[in-house]
Amino acid sequence: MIALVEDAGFIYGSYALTFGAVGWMVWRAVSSGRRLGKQIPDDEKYWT
Amino acid sequence: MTTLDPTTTADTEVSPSRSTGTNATRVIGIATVGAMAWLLLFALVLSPADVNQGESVRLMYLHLPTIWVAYLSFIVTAVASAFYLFTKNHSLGWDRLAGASAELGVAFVGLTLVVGALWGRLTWGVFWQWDPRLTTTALLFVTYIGYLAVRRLGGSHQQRAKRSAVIGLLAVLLIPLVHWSVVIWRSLHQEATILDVDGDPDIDGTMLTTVFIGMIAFTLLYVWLVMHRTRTMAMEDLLEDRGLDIALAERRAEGGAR
Repeated sequence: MIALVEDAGFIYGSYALTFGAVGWMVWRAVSSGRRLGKQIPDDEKYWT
Repeated sequence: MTTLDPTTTADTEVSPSRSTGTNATRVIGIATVGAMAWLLLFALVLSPADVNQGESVRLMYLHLPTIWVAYLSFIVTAVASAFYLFTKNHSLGWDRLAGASAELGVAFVGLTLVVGALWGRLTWGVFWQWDPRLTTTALLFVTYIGYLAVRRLGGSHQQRAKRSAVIGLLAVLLIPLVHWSVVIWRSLHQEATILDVDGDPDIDGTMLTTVFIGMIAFTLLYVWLVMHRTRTMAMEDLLEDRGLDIALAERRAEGGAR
């Protein structure tokens, strides 16, 4: 485990930053899909 | 074909089929979450510290997968651009795939640069050096920001697709330059560890396993994101067309009233 090592701030910070960015991208993908999806009929969506 | 009703409001009907999710994206999403959990377990717990770099080697498990996905994104952008330009029907589906993939590529190169800077601070003592690998990666980042800016210029969807496809095909040529920059020029950055010229990676077995788990996890994430983003872009194009149709109808009505 790395809990007590000197560089833990950099290491944990990098993981927090990366997964925070990933979470933001996922949230943006889902929310914009839902928002726009309500304005388009289902038969206009090639994936439905 | 159903016509789009401009009076439809966001609150009238809600059903799961209306978003960009499908069974395929749900399966990929679950697999991504599972792979990310494995990555965290291996990267932060099971993988050993490096003899030279100590615990900071754990940043490699983010740095390599993110740059791998960035390369993959830009290659997909180039391939989709080629399909758009060189197929007979010039399908906008290829253009949207190219654009969605480039957006993700820019995000992942950005992450690579930030995590790389933090790793550099731990191993080299500085966040940034104008080193060949770092500089060419920054150039790659800026080039694809330019590609995304060009996509936002005015004009029809076909005009957007044509001009961005040409840039998408040219910009991908930077990837070999970035990859071999450490060989071509004298560099502070280490040479390739996994894609070693002799095909025998100089890396501990658990570390190698962790890198591969990271690459699988981030590739799954990329596939999930690009599917959603491509579908969102298709809906944005439809709504833009609808806005144009409404504007034209209003202009015609104004003309008829005079």
